[in-house]
Amino acid sequence: MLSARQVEPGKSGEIEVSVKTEGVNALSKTINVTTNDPRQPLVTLTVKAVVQPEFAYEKSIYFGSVPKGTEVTKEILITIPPDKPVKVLNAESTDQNVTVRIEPQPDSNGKKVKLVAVQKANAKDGYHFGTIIIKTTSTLTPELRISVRGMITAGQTN
Amino acid sequence: MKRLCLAIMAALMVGVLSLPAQEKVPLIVFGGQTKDFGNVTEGETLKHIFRFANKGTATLEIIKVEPS
Repeated sequence: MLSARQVEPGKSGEIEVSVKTEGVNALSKTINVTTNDPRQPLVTLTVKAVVQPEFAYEKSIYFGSVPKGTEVTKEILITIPPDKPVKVLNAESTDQNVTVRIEPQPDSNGKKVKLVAVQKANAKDGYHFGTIIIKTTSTLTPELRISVRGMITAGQTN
Repeated sequence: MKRLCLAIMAALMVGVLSLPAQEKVPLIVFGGQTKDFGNVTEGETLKHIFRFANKGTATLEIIKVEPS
């Protein structure tokens, strides 16, 4: 946002820059300012940042292809930087074939949480998928989402 | 001697009058052209104000501001 298009000699102006940090690790944005200054007709402004996630975790779980009747357990560690005052609250799965629970890790002061996802032994045949939704206390990231999928093949017959 | 002085003065006058008129130009000066926020948390919206001044003698026009 520009304060004024014309600036008289001896006066000053402002250019306000706003940058979102979602979905990026390293941020470097440039803004080109074209002016009637014959010595600097083009001025380049740069905004830089190193973007760290509030919650570091794997974004997907694949249970593999297993015969019906087999329970499969997968674990994901969710890590929170020590300086972030946020916590993981709870988790639920939209996939009826998958149950999920949260296990805070001892001596981590809530900064490491294990998410345990279990593909049920009585899961229906075929491909299944869904999302694990994890609620947090963060206002920036109130929800974490992990996609889950798996394949149940016909069980072995005797 | 008097003639010499007059001749010198005349030459100086001609020299001054023949100088080109100083062109008025704007001059943009930024306080800083780079902002490094360092480590930030994903999800934050970063805001910064780049301040500049016109140190020239003519009106400065900002023709275009374009992110790239």
